[in-house]
Amino acid sequence: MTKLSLFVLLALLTVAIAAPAGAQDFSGQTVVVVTQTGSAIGGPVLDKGPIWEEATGGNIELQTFAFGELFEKIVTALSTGSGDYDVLIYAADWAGDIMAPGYVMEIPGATLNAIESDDVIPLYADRITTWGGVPYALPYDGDAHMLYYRKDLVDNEMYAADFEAQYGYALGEPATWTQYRDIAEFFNGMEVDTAGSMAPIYGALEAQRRNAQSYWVYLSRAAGYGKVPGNPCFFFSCDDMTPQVNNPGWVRALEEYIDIRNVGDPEMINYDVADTRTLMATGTAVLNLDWGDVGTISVDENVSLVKGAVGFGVLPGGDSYWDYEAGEWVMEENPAPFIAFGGWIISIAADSDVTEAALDFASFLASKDVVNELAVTGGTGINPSRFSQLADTAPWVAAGFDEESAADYLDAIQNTINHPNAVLDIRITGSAEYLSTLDAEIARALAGEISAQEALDNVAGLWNDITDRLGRDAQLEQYKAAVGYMGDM
Amino acid sequence: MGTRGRRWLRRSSRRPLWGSAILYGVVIFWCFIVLFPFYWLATTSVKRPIDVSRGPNYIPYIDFQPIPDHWEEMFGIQRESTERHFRNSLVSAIGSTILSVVIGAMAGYGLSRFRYYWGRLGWDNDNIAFWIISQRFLPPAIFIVPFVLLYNALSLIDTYAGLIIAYTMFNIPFAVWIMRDFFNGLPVDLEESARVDGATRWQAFIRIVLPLSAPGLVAVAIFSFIFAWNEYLFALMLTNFNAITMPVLIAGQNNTRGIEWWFISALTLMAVVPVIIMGLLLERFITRGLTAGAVKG
Amino acid sequence: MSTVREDRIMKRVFLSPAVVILLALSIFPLLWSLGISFTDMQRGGSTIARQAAAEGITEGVGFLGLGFELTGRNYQRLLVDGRLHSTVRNTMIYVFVGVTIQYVIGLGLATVLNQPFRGRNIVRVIFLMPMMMTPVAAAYTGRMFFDSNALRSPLAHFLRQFSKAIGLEQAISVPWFTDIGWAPIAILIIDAWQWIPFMTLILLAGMQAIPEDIYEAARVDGANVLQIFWRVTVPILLPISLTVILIRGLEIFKIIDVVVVTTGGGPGSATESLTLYIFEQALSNGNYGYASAIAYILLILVIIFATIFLTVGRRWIRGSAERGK
Repeated sequence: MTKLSLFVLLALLTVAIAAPAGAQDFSGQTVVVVTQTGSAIGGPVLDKGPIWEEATGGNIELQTFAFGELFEKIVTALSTGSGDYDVLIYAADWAGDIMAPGYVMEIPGATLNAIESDDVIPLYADRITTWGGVPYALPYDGDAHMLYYRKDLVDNEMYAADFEAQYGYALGEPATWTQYRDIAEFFNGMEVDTAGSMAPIYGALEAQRRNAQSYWVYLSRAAGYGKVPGNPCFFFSCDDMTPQVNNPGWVRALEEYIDIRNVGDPEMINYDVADTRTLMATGTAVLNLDWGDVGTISVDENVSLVKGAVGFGVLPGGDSYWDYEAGEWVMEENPAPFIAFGGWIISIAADSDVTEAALDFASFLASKDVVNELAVTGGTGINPSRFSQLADTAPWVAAGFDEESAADYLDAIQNTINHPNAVLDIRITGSAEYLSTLDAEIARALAGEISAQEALDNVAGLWNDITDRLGRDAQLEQYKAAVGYMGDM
Repeated sequence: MGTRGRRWLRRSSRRPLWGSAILYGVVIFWCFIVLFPFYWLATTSVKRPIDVSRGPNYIPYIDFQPIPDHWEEMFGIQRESTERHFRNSLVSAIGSTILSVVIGAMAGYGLSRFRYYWGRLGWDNDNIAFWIISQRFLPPAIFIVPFVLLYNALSLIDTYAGLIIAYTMFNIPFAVWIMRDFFNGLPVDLEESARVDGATRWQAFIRIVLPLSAPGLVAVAIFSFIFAWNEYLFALMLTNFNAITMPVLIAGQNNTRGIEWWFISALTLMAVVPVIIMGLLLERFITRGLTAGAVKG
Repeated sequence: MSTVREDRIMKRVFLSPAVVILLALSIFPLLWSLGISFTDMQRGGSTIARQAAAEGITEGVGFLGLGFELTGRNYQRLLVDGRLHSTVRNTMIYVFVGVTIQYVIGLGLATVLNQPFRGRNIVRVIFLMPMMMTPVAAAYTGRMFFDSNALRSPLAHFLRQFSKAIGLEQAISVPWFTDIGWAPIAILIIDAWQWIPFMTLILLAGMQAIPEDIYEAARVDGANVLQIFWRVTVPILLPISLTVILIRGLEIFKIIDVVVVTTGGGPGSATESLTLYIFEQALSNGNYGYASAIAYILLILVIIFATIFLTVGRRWIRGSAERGK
């Protein structure tokens, strides 16, 4: 025993001495990292942690929770000042509850330089990782909802004529939710070829499970009908924080979200994103929406039957949208991709007692090299957030994409992130609560307990309660800042 | 035991054949209901993911090829985490069990042997006992908010002490209940003669009463241990890292890459084995302890 | 030291630890949360403190300048919160249906275990095993079995083979967790699987305490097995039955782990329990005032349940005792 520990000590010393120049020495310091369970997001900490441990002599310990518990654990630990966690890897959307109260430390400029933050897409570098203009987090992951479809079917001439005869326009990547539904309906139940075997396929596959982040999928649909071009305020009006969630645009989106089960996998009401992305990769449906993960999973031969057969696109938009200020439907196509979630970001707890080491590990994990490697690896949950990741298809091809798919995938991501009508998350104090009430009520509508209108009326009422409880003026200020509202233009 | 055994024998010889058939039928059916999930966990913990999702596969080596990978990972790359959770569960369960047994036995003895009267409330022994027992039935949800605030103020969040104190609080009512009834059933003569011989009350309690109460103490210990070992709500609420327990680890296996059934199965088996071993060793005490205690209602 | 004086000290020594712990950790928190339920307190301050902070005032706001406000709002909201009402309904279903199932099956199994047969001791231990599993794990196990996909779940696979065997066109497939009618049933089954052993254990102990001569006398009177069960065993077990039913009933009021793991409260709000809702309000939303108010509703429900139960139960026992004479 003593011999062993002596040996370990010697080994550590040797490593510490042999550590590359510039690496700081954090021997004897333990950095506790907290994030969600599983190989996605948290997995890289276990994989890459030892490299950092070897270089610095520090020690990494990982604490994980199911996504549903993570927010509450992080916020409770921080608000009680327990100092238990040093590095937090969490959803960007929680900024209002984590950055705003000052629970995490400001990221020094030197660290931002070290991770080459000028390579990071401004959406992430300047908005998602900052609060009130101050950077409080390091970008780790980039997230936006995208459309996935079986291009071997949708771009297939075999079906084109039938489809056109039936619906009166050409079959192809859907631009509106109406077209999306038409395509789903057309294929639903049809016997098609998947990886050499003929089997019936479902039209669409969308996550609808309660308490499992399914509301992002609904919000992606609501964006097309409820986002007013030129007006960044989507969830609330920027005059007085009136929730828009029960306006006719949002209601129509919910009705269609409920209806899609009729032309898709009927079990989807109990599927979360984890289920839908696994199933999409096994070729059970034609259409799907998800974060970037489906791209990398679909080219992983171990789990995918549809390698190279998946097309990528910007989310469909509305064929019309509800202008809540004018109070009327506007009959124009309205693409409004939703930057759902905003990605996982890394912060250092202000009450940490090893801030130096924590910061060093965080900047190692968020460094260009590490993140770029993770982004092209399936199952890490890390999606592109840097220019360098989007500039070149080579690493993607090396990771298993074919040239055309890689270009298609990167295009879809870029077009989403850079879209002028893109919609950002709520991103104010209480966002988790706003979204969990939305989640509970849309779940009731999905289960047929109440109508879409009733569900969203309930949400609007609850959102008003939350806003009043948290202080309406304070919330309005935050929301305006979050969406970049400049007043009446 | 002897006469009793013979009586059973007599009764069983009277049992008609169809009676035996039904009896064994029910026993076998229920054993299957109980054991099959355990079997399923055991096999799932050695299945490849593909064997879990493309099955169901029942019998190792015939339906699927078992692999040790998941167990290896749990004791390999995840070793630190597995050990930490397991150790924490053990410490908080054992700590609170000891405290509950000691405090419960003392209070039970007091309520059984002395006469109390809380004048201000007009409560006698029965009222006090009822009050203590009734605490067991308060919904834990009512403690969520005050406990978070209280533990925060006392810096007890994420400490062994914090969990042990909470679990002791939940176990004491049950312990008092069982122990009081148990002591009520013990004749007082032995203690009195010891005290006539010069032993103090405390000595009589420790040397005479406690050894006679082993079944009751063991029953209380088992129930306290099982409660603390399996508790989820307060463990989730009051711990972050250092004192976090197995149920929280198991519940946390739900993630965005889908549920990793094989890890859950392995973890579940790990969590259940100590309790089952304990149950096997101490099973006879459970019934005896309870027969003396709870049974009387 | 005289024994009388010694005893006067010792009796306090014996009882105090338990009383002190309960006062500090049970009564005090209880009163505290009653107080909180009448305030606007929440994580990171209170409504009034936040508003004041936004206006730049930091001290002396609210009730007596303590930084919070007294309000009955939380209790008003209880009346109109539709989600709360459905969680109350669900919890009541869990309690009443759950206890009934568990008692009936538990009594049946206890009767079986009270018979002499080969291997009885090992069977008794086997019957206890589910109780030893942490409810979280039991819930995951339940999820594996109630998955409606026949490729993953042995139960669904069995149902499919079974319907094939009896020649059904459409295989039987139960949408356990996806249907608002079935999901609570699945949760009830998981809870029952785990806690029937508890019922069996206690009822068995009660049966073994029944003296043999009572049965003997009944047999002499010419009663058959069923009559003996109904007229002798059940009435004698009545007091202990009421105890176990009360214990389990009050335990089920606390259900949260099984729901969290299996459905998260869905589909819709079909399976959400009161405890889960309180937990979410308190820890996810940080709305301490409202969470405390709901917790008090739960407490009142529990007290009503226990009181009615004890009153009716005592009357029954008295009634059956009189009939027995």
